[in-house]
Amino acid sequence: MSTGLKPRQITVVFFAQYRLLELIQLSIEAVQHSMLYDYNKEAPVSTTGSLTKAATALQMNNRTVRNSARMTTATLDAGTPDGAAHVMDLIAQNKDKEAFKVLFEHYAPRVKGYMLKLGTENSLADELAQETLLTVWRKAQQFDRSKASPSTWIFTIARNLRIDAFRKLNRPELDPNDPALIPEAEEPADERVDRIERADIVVSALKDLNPEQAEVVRMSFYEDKSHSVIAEELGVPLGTVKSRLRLAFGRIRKTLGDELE
Amino acid sequence: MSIQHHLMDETLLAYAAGDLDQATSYLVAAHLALCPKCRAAAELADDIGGGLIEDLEPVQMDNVAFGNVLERLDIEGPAAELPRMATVGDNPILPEPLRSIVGGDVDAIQWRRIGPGVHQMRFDDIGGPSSMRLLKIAAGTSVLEHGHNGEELTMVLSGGFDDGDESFTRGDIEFADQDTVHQPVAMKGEDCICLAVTTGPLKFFDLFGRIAQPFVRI
Repeated sequence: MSTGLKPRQITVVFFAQYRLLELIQLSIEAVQHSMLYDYNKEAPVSTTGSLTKAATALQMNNRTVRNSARMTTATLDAGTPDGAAHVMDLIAQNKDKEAFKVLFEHYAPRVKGYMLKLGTENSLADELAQETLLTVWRKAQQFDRSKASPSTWIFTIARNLRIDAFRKLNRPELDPNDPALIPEAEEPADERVDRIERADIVVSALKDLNPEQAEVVRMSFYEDKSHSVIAEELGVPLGTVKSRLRLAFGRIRKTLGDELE
Repeated sequence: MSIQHHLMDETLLAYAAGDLDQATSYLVAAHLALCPKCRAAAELADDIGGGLIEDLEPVQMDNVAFGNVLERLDIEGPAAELPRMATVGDNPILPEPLRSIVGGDVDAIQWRRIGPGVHQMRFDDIGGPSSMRLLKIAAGTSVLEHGHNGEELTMVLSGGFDDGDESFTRGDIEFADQDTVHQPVAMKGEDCICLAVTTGPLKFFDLFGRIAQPFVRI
């Protein structure tokens, strides 16, 4: 070779050029993503990682990221499934505290209401609602929109904390990584869709239930009562409570099936 | 063979609502591990909880609540999950959460003989109104005919049993209550291991059963 450089220097030059290219590419990606991010009001789930990486690699991008976060904060809304899922993404990907505030303001008062309905005294209900939202922050990366609505996911956290607090015992649950677990038959590709709408569909299905069915569903979710206690309070046979629950469940399942078709 | 006898919807609803006692919750969780169909139904039951939360009237939080939580955001939380027990093999017979409470797979079960061809391991520590036990019935052995003072849920973990004209194999659930008098018979060829959760003592009609009952607490 006639470059007049020693092999080691060539390597250095190549490496420098490679790094430069990489940095340019990362900044292009970052700018593209921040544009996407603004226009779609939707965090690009799979790409935010590289956005963050690029921002760290190039200090100059810090402002872009902050600006786009500020622009979206004004429009964040945890009151719709889409909005709440977007907020969850911001928390999971960026540890975004503004987004967390939005989530807190929507869900903490509802989780507190849930705890109060279950007979928890006011300050403990408040504390359990705080713990629930704190757990949401810590486990945000486990939220999976192909598995559940944000409200369903938050409900399961609230429920489990309530069980832990009152029984001093963990709720026995399956382990998703258990080798003994029998996996689902492969779902057709078009069925692997977002499930973030499901809780909302269930809300409307609950409103369509006849009052007797809705009553037993609410009693079992809100009053922590076994079916035999519910039967006693309503003055109906145990079998009636069970069949009302079964009918309610069937109705909801059907509505969900129809809506998602 | 796929599962023929599933959990009842009302049981899945109670599990989602958090109303089930500890023993029944173990049985439900173990069945869910083996049954994708019930798992899907359990997810739907969770959605009902999510829908109800969404629909709830919000209740004013304490003024300092958000500030309190904000202060704790950057503090590392406690380890989120308890570490699960190392798996014994690729195909454990006991699904979680049973392995964790037994302390291993089937070879870790501490059997105690309670009758001819019948062994049990009781779990007295889990509390709640129901009691839980693992049962092993030797291949081809028939359990004493019995009735129930409460409800009984039995899930097969290995082998199988016949009861009347119905057969139960791995993952299948049999429900029995005050109206059920039955005499399950373990299938030939393999011992039958099952998990049984009862809300009241069994009723034996046989003299041997009645004499032995207080000693084996079944």
